[in-house]
Amino acid sequence: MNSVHDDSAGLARLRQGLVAGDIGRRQFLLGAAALSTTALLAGCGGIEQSDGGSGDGGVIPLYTVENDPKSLAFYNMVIATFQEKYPEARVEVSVYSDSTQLQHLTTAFRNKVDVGIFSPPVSQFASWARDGYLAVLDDLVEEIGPDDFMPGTRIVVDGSDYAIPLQANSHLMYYRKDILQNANIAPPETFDDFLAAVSETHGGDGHIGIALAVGPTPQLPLFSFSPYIFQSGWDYFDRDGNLTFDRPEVLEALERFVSMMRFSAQSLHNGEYADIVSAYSSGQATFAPFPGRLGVNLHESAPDIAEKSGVIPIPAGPFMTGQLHFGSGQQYALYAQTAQPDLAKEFLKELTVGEHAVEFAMTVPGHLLPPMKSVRDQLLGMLSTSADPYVSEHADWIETFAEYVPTAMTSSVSMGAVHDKSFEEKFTNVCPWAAEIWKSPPVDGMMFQSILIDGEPVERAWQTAAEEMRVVADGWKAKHPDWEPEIV
Amino acid sequence: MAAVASPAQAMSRASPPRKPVDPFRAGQYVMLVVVVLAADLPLLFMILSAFRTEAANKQYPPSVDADTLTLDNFTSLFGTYGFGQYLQNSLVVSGLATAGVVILGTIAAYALSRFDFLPLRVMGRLAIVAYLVPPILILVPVTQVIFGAGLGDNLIALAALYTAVFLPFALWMLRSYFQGVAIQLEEAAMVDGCTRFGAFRRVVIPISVPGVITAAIFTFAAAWSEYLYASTLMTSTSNLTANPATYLLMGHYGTTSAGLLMAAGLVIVAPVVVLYLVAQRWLVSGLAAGAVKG
Amino acid sequence: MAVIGTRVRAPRRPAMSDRRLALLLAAPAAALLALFVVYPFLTALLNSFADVDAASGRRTFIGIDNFVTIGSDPDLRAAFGRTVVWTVSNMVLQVCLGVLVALLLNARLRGQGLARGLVLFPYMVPAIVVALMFRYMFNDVTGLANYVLLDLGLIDAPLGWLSDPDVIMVTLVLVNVWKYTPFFVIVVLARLQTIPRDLYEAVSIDGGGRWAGLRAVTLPSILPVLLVAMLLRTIWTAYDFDIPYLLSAGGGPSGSAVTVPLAIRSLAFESGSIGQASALAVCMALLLIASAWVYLRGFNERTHV
Repeated sequence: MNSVHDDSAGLARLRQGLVAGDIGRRQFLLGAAALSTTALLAGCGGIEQSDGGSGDGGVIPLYTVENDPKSLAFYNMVIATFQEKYPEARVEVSVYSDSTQLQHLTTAFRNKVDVGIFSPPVSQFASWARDGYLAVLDDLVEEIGPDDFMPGTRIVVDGSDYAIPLQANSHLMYYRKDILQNANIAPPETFDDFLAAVSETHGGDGHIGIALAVGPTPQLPLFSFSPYIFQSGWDYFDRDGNLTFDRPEVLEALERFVSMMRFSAQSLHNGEYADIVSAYSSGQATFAPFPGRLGVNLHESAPDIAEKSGVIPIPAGPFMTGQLHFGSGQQYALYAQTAQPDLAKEFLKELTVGEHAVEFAMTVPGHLLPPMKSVRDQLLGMLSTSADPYVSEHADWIETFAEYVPTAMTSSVSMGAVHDKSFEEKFTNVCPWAAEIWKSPPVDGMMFQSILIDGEPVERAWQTAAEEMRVVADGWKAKHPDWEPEIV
Repeated sequence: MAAVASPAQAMSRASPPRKPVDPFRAGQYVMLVVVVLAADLPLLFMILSAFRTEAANKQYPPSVDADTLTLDNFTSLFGTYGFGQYLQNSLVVSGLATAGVVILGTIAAYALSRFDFLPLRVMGRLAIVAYLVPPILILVPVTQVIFGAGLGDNLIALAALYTAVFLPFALWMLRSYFQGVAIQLEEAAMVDGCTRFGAFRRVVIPISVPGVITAAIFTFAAAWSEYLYASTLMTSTSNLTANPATYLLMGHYGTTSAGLLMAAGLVIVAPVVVLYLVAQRWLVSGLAAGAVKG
Repeated sequence: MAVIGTRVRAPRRPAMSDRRLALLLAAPAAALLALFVVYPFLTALLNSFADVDAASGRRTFIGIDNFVTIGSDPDLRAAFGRTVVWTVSNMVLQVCLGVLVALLLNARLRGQGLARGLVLFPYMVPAIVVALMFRYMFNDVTGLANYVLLDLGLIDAPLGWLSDPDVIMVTLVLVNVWKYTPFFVIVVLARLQTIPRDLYEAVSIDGGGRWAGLRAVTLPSILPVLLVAMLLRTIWTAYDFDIPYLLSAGGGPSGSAVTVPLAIRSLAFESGSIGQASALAVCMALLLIASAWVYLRGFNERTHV
């Protein structure tokens, strides 16, 4: 594995350059391409070796949905430094697609493919942990230090940690400063102002007021609707898993959301993340809720739109207006039967804390926000000095996204954090039946589509969906009478 | 039969110079232009997008600006995303599958066309039924067979699967082709002292070249375009074929550029187009005599 | 291994050796088909009568419950209806356009060679590329199609090509016709080239014009070819998964583009009901095999008389 060692000098340079923002994107990508080749060769060597079945080496598969070149280059860099420490270790990175990951992973489980380190959809953790697909990571959490985790980023099932968070972000809203200025509208701070601004700028020539989307992708309707339901003072379920989606305030939230969706495009009634991105970055939408990635993307491919854009919280309801949002976490899990569990945990630690974690956050700044307090402090501290062109131009966006992370949640992971018009702190309380509600297509997504596409009255669709959620929850609880919520 | 291609501009000059304008003829030319445009405008869109910057592709209203032309999409496709590896995988799988189909298909089709007794007849029926079985129906059992044998994520196993899946079409096409090849010729060769195998090799094979080429091209194109099995059976990125790899380029939050995807599309289409163009002559005559015995 | 019939053709060699040779030649192909098609098909057949655990693959036989369930599901019945519409409309358009274009390309026009090549392009483009291309073009906010139509004043509001439940099937059919019409063009063109020109001359000597030539010579000669090609394409179209799935992003708004193959995928991989998915697939395969058989019998009788 000489090639790996030869690379390490170049690697260190590349890494420093990336963090400090000294190197341009092209330079970085070229370096990354070179490193990818090395990793591929190393990976091939690893396969041959593992065929021999020797115990000391072996492959750690790493499955990721991140296909961003910077993210891939990051993994390859960590792998190369990891191999300096553990020369016998081989890490093989595979990318799989977001929309087919469930099919991919269930096929893999059924056929006993070692998926090593992978990142399951958050709604699957509880059921997969119980089905024995996931390794217990208690020792690793202990080693890193449980206090270092931001609130609501650990995932505990039956008393054990099964996840190491890789990011915890917030989904806020991009808006076109120029369009609002031309229409003499201030950035909205209440829902009514927001709706007025959206309807005012919704034009006939294809320009839409807001690129707000629902669709069959499990997380998409949840991400779109979360600010509305949280800012009504409720969640889908309370801490003990009792349905609260049927509260009258939730119906109001739903009506607010639907009135907003009327100023979106028809394709976004059955949309995907990509549709939001393309509508906003072509300049065809005034508002677009999205996480940090859109900003990075705008900066690169639609700089004129980026220049005219701002990032604000979403005023979606009367309770804690503009403060509670959707925030997605992504977590690594480890396949229970992986060939090299100890090495894999070591590698996970490399990815999670220390220098590498800061580097990871810098691959998509503002999107991959650190779930570790130590890393977060480091990242926020270096924003003002970074020479990265995106960071230097839009540090305020990154700060805004970071600011809202502690109040940005996913209902399936922080079940009941918002309850009866009160919110104390984000926590982890995994909804055990989440996989049956936020499946593909999700229950709430089908509700929105029946309203928007089939023209069903809001109230009836809401009642049907609430009933379906109740049946799922009751059914699950009947099968698991001993279940107690585990709040971390 | 092969008409000489005249320059494209000739199409717009409505009538041949020797006669006065025949309205029917002129109408045919108009139709021809319409048909060609309908077939190729979407491809023109693909080509343009592949050679334009992401910013230009995102621009709305769309514009055609010469100074936005770039090769960046291709450099990042092959550099950053290592697309060459996927193309190579596709080439290996499609090549092996084509070889498999041509070899197995030719000899089996010959047997089916020259002999007629129970086991062979069963096999012939089997091939028809195999042709009628939808891929999606056998997807789950097939993955179980392949993973069960420890052959998941294996390019050669995928090629073997493709061979089986595309064999029936080739089998039936070649069978009717061989039936069209005069048996008398073959018998004459045997009278002259050839063994049956010798007759097959010296007489039947050479005459069958267009049919075999047609079968090979169809198989190659089908294997090259296959998406469903490849995306299910290949679990590691380094073994992906080009079609599912293109799907991967679409990215996590759908933020990948249209130019990159269209560049990938262009790169996937190009070899098939070249193949068709090179083999067009055999293709048409192969079909005329084979699949389509009149 | 009883020998049926006496048509074994072996003028010079003893029958046994020829038979053995024939079996030897056919064996590898048969083995491959058995392993990758017949065995999985039988497994699927078994699965259709069972409740299959998605994780372990264990079967619990439950009789015809799966068939009852899928038969009583209104969504699946709608998917069946959609598949019929999809297949029929595709076939009608592809055959008509295919024949017309083939005739046009055989009309000895200038630039015909080049045009033949250009017209065949869509057939060579893999489904994933087709889907990507048309998803960009038919996007209702940023797509080229709407922009051009709006600009020309042909429509006054953006059209939801892929987002309007009433329009999406039309769009899918159009795209599929675009991609697969060249198949008929190739097949018909190949046949047209083998028609001797003196047949047409005979018609015109008898005083017939273009129309008479078409009816008396062209159509009868391309009909057998067309019927075979239609059989193949009908099967492929009914099973077509890639284009509807990729272009409608999994089934369209409110499932308005879910055809049977898409429903099978969703049952198997989204609901984990492998038994029901298999039952649905078996129903469809049996229907198609039966209709193909009837079709082939009719065809054989017609062409052999």
